[in-house]
Amino acid sequence: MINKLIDAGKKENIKIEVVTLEKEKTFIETLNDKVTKTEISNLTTYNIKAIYGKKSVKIDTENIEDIDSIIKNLKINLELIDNVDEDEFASISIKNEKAIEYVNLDIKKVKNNLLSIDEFRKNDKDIKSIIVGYSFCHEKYTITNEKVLSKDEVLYHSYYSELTIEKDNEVKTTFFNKVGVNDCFDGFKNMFSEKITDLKLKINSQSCETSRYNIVLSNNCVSDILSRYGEMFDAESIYKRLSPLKDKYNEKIFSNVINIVEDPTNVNYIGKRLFDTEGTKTYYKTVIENGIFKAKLYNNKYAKKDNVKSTGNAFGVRNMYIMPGEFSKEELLNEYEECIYIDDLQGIHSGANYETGEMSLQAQGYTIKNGKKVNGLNMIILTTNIFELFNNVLKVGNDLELFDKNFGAPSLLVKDIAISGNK
Amino acid sequence: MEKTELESILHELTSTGADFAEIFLENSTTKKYSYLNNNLDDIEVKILDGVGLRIALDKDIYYGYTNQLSNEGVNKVINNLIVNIEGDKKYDNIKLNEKAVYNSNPKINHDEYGEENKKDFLKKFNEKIREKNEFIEQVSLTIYENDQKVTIANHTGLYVEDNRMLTRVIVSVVAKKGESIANVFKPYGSSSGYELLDTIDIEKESDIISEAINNKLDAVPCIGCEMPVIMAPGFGAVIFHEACGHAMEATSVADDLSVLSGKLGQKIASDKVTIIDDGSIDKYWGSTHIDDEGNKTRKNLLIENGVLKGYLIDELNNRKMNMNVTGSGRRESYHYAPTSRMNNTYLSPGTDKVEDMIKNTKFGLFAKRMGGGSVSPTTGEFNFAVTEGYMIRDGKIAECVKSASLIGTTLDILNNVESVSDNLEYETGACGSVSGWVPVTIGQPTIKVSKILVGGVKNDK
Repeated sequence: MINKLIDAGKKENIKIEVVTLEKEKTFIETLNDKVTKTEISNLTTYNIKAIYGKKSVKIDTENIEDIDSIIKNLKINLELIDNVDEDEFASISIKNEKAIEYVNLDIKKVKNNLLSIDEFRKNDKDIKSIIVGYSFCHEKYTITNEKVLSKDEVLYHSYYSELTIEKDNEVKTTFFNKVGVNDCFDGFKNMFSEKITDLKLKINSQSCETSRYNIVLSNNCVSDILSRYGEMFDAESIYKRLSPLKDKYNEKIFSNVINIVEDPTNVNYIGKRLFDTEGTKTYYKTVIENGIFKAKLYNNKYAKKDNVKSTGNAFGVRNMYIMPGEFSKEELLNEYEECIYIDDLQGIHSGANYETGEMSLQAQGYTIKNGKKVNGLNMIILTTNIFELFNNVLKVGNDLELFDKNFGAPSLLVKDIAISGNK
Repeated sequence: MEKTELESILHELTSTGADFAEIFLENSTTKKYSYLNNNLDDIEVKILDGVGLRIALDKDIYYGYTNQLSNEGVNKVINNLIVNIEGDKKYDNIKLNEKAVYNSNPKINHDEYGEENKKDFLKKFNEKIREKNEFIEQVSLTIYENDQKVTIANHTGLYVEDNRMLTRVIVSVVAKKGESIANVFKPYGSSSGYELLDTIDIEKESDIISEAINNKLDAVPCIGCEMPVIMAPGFGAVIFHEACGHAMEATSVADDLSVLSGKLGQKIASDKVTIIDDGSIDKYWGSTHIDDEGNKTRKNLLIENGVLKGYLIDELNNRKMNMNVTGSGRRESYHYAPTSRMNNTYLSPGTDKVEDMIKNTKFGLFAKRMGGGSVSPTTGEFNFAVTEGYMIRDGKIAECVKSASLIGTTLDILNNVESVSDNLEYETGACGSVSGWVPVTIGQPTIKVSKILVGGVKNDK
């Protein structure tokens, strides 16, 4: 059907390229000792790019059968838009040199694994509930135009848990996850003991006085913040005057201990991709080097505008992270006699403003004395902006983790940040 | 798919002992017109065409979905589902009723309005906003139109089709003055057609946006502490959406994982709080004729004079709750199993006067516009963002402050609502949860909360 669509486009002088995504997914969730959700899906989506003269438009569709309707819609949209920034198609065919090792999922084994986590609850009266979820995804990407056929394929596993304890009439909950190219159940299960201990410390949590504090931000919190602002390196966002980094290319914008890279070629991370959605080969790149903004991320259109080559980022970013430092989390917590450790941030989608860089975020964590967690902290608000936060980083932890296919981070020691509380 | 084909699928789905089977067919087209840099920058089209199949035995639920609508594709999903249940077939003869069809009946259909007219509206709005304010760096205007046809059939013989239409306009403006950057975001929406555009007064809205921009460019850091907060009508209701809305969804209540589980009939809020969720209000952004399980939407009284009166309950969570289904089963698309969600949630108007609320506040915050927020229904801890706020000093509205988050817990905040005015307004938004993103409306009159924690810096005065 794709070739028929391309041929139909040719008759109208419209060049067409199709990116096909075939995705199979299995999702299982348990609550305590029961499997509560089992979901299986099988989807094929077509992203159709059409170029006519200097104009280009796209249609994302799950139905490629009605070719006449697709061509008609492309023509209408090409006629209507004003944007004449030139785009282009993939020019080189790219394929995996090594075939992916397919995993036949043993659903029974997966369910038993998830249910085995309930032993933590059965052995601990303070645990009210444990929700555990597992996803297995198999994705195949194909780019087809008149000259090119590129193929890529990925498999990945992800686990998450929502753990709830109830003690002294108080309820506390925490959420954590683990992802991997290979099955990472053992590593995920090993997280539970520490998570339970840490959550229990949050019983009788208090707030703090509104003031400025030295803080340690856990790796998951840093990753969440990075994911909110990850688009800021994108040339399109900068060009459109939306990114907080507009006018800051080649400037020192963060602390010199901050180095941010994007690594879509890393086979150990689930965001690994051979090429982006325009067929441009991906590669490792340093975006922030010693705090300096070194590399904008481009798709074809905006690369042409800046007279550079596409960086293979038409899909955004994959495997972007702050490079780990040399300090353990314990060393970060021990840096000051007292500090605040924040391990949970909420409301990032609304409380972190992308265009201005300002953020005001509900937070939770612990007060730290001499490197030890003394008591839980909650009902506090972290107030800062992306520049102050990353400029005030003193040390970078060695505990880098990638939490999804896009972002990851290590823990950070940050000086002098405003925290509001009601004490 | 024809009726007989649907019946055949339902028979297959229940062949190994499932006591519940449902088919959700969806065909939808979403079109986004993006106006940026003074031109129609892009048009994005997204077409979904697939089926979601759901079966259950007692409280165990299995869901599968595909857009491979051939016999082979659908059978693959069926086989993957029925293998999870081992038992005797419960239904010998599933016959679907006569199909009930619902339509959105817009005044101006999406394809009747004319593509050039859509572009023209965006062009005029863009020009008007830009001419009002010299500091504007970027104006981003989007028209979003969605046409969705859903067909739902289940083992009881339910057979319905709903042809839904959504239209939305989103304005996002970024301005810069020296080193200060400010932005304003305003959405407009309805579950109808392009008659929406006639309700937008471009001149008036551009004035409001420009005034907000000017104030926000000069904003100072907000003071961070507990204080009284007066929340403007309309989007101020995000406080109720987050503080108690999610906690009243069976999604968490059914498993005893909500802070409001087991509290029916109890006083959980101040006397001034009466909250309703109603998915049947004609043309409202969060409305549909039927929910995504095929049940008619309706007005649901959730809290009355501070007493918890009801929850939002979908079919399968009701197997754990044993109450009445409320027509609240929703999903973003067939890619998700449905669960109970809000539609149009509002606080009933009271009688207090806005001027009295302000006059009687020695030191506090006036939250004029809000962003979204989030909540843990289990603990009741929630947050939401104030995107345009002003300090109140000695009974008067004072300086504009930079964006701040407000946080609290469900029961504390509901009991701290001390004043409710009579100027009920509504705003449109999008709510994300386990069954994806769904359009919602929130509404309230101006209210005063006696104390809530506001994010900011230390008050040195």
